Amino acid sequence: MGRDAPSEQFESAQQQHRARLYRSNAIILRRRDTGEADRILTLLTEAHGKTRVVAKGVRRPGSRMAGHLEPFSVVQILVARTRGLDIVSQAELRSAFSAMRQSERAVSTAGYFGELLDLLLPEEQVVDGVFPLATAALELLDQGYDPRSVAFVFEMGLLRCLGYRPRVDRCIVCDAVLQPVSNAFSVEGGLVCQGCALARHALIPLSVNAQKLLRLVDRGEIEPVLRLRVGAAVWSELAVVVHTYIARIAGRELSAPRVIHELRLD
Amino acid sequence: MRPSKLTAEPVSRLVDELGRLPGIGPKSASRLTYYLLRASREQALALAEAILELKERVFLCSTCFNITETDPCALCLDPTRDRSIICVVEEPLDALALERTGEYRGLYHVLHGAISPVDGIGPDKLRIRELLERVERERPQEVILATNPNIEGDATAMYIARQLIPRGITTSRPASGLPVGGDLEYADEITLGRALVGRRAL
Ligand SMILES: [Zn+2]
Ligand SMILES: [Zn+2]
Repeated sequence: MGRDAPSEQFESAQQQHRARLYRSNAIILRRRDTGEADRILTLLTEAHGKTRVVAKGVRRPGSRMAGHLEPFSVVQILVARTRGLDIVSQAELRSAFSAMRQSERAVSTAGYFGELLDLLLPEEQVVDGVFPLATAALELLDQGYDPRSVAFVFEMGLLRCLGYRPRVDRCIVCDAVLQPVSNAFSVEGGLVCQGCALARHALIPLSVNAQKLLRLVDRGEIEPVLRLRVGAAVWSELAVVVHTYIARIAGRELSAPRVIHELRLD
Repeated sequence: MRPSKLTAEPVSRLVDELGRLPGIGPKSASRLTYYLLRASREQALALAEAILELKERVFLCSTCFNITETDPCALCLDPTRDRSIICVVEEPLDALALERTGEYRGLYHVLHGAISPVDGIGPDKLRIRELLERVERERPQEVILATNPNIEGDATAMYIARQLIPRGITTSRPASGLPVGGDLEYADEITLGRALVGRRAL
């Protein structure tokens, strides 16, 4: 009598323990040293969205997990939920994107993606489409596509997933169909026709070619955007527009584009 | 998070200050504070003085940016060091780890960090401009880029190599064997020494 009670208790404790563990694919967005040899990682997980976890002892060369937890790799992780920061208990590398790591431009663009995801995503909440988008973008960088085109596709995809898809077919003020002339972009969320632009401030002019790229990516025509030969001037036009728009949404300036500029990779 | 009103103000102040140190959470900060509360006056004063002295007497060498009590530092002044090689590291502790190997007789240059766009750290926040000026001035035969074997360390090495190679300076990177993702500072002396001896040109 009562002999089974301890083992029952044990079992329910075990079940609780299991419920406090989860396994997921994840991308390491950023990391910061903490404690003697630990790191706090910001992850984009497939199962729970953006989350922060601690990886214990990973700065020691003996750590089995260290090589699996480099930023911008895709890993499968086992995470233990705790009352404080969750703990990574296992990590297995899925894609290291080693070719990407050999290119300064590609790897710093991956850093920019990390900043965007950390800045714009809500904590512990899955935003549909973001994990596959981020994985695909890293794969494109790894395959050697022009990081400027990959960044543009990624930015526009992320804005769409988050509900900030800019309007690029009609003027956001008067709803007129846009003419193939130099129109302007407004951080209110889209293009403004020449007539309406005259009466408004803080607009960014956009060439016809830059608008074409906006429309292509808006229609989901990714291949042409990646394959077209686009001049540096058009990429910088689009970078100004997208960075200003994102800074407006995030409420602060982005740092990675400033660093990439500082690296003088052109 | 803040200690309750039951706690004396100097206690909560020290808890707050200790809690700002790396690797110390609120619990450890309280534990250390209550330890010091019970410790002898001498022990507490010795700690306070050590911290003051650290801030007043230690600064960065204006040549290699390692921490020092004199400028230039003892190592930069040492006539027995090989002046034709400069070894670039991220942190003073990395230079210390390389010294322990006994395999290296050249000079150092401490960057105080690594390039990381995601964290907003570019070359301008590191001692890279100073390295390039120093290389122009001293014309070493070789610059070893011993930044950490991880993504930030690799990016930093690639950036510096891109600046040095057109200046006709041989650049090299310690050989693999150092585990990816680990910190140089924790590598054992034998592995680190071997990586240094077997360095490859970039
Ligand atoms: Zn209009
Ligand atoms: Zn010195």
